[in-house]
Amino acid sequence: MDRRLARALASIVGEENVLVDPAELLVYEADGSLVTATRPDVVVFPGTAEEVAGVMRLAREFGVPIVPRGSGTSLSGGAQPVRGGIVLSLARMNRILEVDLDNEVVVVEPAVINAWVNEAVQRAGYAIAIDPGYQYAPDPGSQRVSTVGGNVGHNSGGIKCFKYGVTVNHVRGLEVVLPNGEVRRLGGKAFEAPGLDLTGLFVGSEGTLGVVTKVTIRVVPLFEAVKTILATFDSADAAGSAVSALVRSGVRPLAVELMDKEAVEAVESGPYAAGLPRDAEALLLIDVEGSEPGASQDAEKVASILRAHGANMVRLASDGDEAQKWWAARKQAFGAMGFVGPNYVVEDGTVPRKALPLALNRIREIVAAHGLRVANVFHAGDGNLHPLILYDERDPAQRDAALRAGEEVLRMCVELGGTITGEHGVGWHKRRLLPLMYSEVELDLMRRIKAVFDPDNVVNPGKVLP
Amino acid sequence: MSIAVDGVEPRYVFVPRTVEELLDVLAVVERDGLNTLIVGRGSKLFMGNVPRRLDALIVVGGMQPAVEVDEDELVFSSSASTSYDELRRELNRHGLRWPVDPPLARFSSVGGIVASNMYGPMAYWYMTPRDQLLRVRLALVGGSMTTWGAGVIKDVAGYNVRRLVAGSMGVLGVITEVKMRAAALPEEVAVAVLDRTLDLRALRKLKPVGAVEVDGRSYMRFEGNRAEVEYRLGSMGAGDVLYGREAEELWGDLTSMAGLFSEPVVLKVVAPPANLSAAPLPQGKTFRVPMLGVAYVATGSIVGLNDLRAWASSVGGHVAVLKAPPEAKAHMDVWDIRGNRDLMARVKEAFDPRGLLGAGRYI
Repeated sequence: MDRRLARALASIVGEENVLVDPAELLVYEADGSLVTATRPDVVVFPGTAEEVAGVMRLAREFGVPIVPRGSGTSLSGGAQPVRGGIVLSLARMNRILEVDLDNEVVVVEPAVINAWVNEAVQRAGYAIAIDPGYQYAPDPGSQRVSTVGGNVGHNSGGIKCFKYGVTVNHVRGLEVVLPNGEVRRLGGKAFEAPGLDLTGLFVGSEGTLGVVTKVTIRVVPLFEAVKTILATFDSADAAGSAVSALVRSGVRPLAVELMDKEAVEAVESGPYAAGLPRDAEALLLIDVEGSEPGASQDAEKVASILRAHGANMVRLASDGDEAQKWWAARKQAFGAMGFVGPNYVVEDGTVPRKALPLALNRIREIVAAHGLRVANVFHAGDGNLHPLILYDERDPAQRDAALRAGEEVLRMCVELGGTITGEHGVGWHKRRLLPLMYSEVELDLMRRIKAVFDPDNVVNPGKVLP
Repeated sequence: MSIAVDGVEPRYVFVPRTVEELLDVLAVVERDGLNTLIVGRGSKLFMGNVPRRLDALIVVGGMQPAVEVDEDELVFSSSASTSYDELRRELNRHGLRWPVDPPLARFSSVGGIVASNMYGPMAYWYMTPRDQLLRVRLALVGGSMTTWGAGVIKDVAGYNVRRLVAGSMGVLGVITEVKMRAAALPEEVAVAVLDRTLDLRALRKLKPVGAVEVDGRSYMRFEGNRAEVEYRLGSMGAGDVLYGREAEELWGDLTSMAGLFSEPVVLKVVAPPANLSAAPLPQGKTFRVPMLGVAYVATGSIVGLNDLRAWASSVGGHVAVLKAPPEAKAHMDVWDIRGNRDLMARVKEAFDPRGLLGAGRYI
């Protein structure tokens, strides 16, 4: 690495906020997918937008790539420094700047952990007597560790997104630093900003247009009651059909999640065991919300629809504690995979909801053809699949087979009318697959959009676009 | 056909009947370097800056309407030329609806609503057309057809071009088809009328799906299952309540704002919601959407606009002049775009390198 670069970076952020020791750089070689690794030349920790701007200008001057990073939980290689260069960790920019419930927004720095937002909102909500308060709805499975900035980069979804939408539907404004070092403000606290939706363009751009240094997010009012329903089925097909019937019925569930037998087995083998039935082939976990009488009526309707569509057991959580236990089990499903297999590749395709049963069968066939096992946990309400393909990294052939199987699954998702990524992003791993969805004319247009912001291809190069 | 835009008459008016004809027209636009505006049903033709130069209009409202409803997915596809009313009837036939209530809906095409991203009070819960857009087919100058989005609820593959297209007022390309999220018809709909306005916090606690204030009265829309609607109405206390068809008719009349838009000047004020009540609005008919921080004001002139814009700017909002005589609009940006105009212009250039669409009307 060019020592002049490290010295120049230290002059901007302070020597204590620059890492060059190979042992320390090791942590920044990969993201949460842990499938591939490439070492950065240097890691910097700016503390302000101005420092980010200084680092950006320097990267441009030295002609080295710069890779923004939050908690590094991305699952598509998005935070991986595939061409070396500077990893720009936003970890120090982790303050909640303002909780403005009068305007139903919260202003945060990018490295604020997703779950901190709700904690802050709940604390502020106590000031409003008798009011159920507010929540920040996007709740990716990683919400206890992933950052709001990372969620913005990937346009993360989550469990409640069936009703409330994904991250882009909750971002009112951004402060961003462009690759030339300019600090720009996009949107703000108002419901709408005039002109083209640059805020919406930045959300989900995976750090390839600039670096987000401040986020204004909307929070939504909580309801008085949430009812949680657990149902089991003899097959994932039957569960998928029940979801379609439920969605058609007029009920607007807050969340609709499906776990198959393998996923339940993994969860129930670990510390988050919640007494979920291990003998069911598929399990649905559903939340509805409203006033106490309104939510109760919806819950009854949901139960009745599920029974009419083949559920062999339907249970309403007896209280909030039981519901929380069930949801904690669901949210720990990825982590629990260690109990049934040493490693896994998680994919993230989406298919039309009615194609779920077919997709599940195809996934099993594809993975079995590679001699591997798969567990499925997914957002059934929106057709977002997360097959966890189990392998043992001590056998390199197994890892390669898992990656190949994953790619075949994503190709199948596109064939069924879906997408190669519902919420994890294209990143590094899936950029080769983007042409499955977009023509050369369309890809070229995206390249021109990238060039508007980053003409020298300095920020997160090699990501998203093939 | 003769159509003037802010008093400027185009040399050519193209009325394609099919997508193929539209692509041919767009090839001509590029070949001949025609400064061109796109028109749907013409309900919002008064919106925008006075055209710098106008060679051609492309009227897409006459293209064949088509709607495809997928009840299992709660989505629909619609040609841009389909009228809002045609779409509403077709979706209702399937027990569904498009949960939007934008101004002038009854006079609009689906493409026009998406291209302008106009929204109404229900956007508080259902968000805007931009948020509901799953896939859009966009014809570019030169005659290429592009498609953005897989059409499923969650899709983050590539840049979110859908969000750029929605609300772009036809300056990036011509929307020919959209796929949107739909919603099931609720079991119950009620509109409650109070003869006073409410404090914002008090209003939010009632949890209406949308609320408007007109002439000192509050109108709140509630929907859901019967128990939910009755619970909300019970929390409200006194007031008149309309249900079902009557409620929908009242809500449709209110939110369409046809009377307000018949006035010569219409301003749209957008501010953080808690600030809106302090807006120094000019005298005139007003339509407030307090939970969104949006107010429409119909007045006789743009006198006082600068002060209103200065106030809006100070609280992080803006004031768009949606309608005004051309002479009043001649020396201003009607949209009140202050920052990042350079980036927007370059993004537009990525789609339309010669700047042929829009004729300075938007960006």
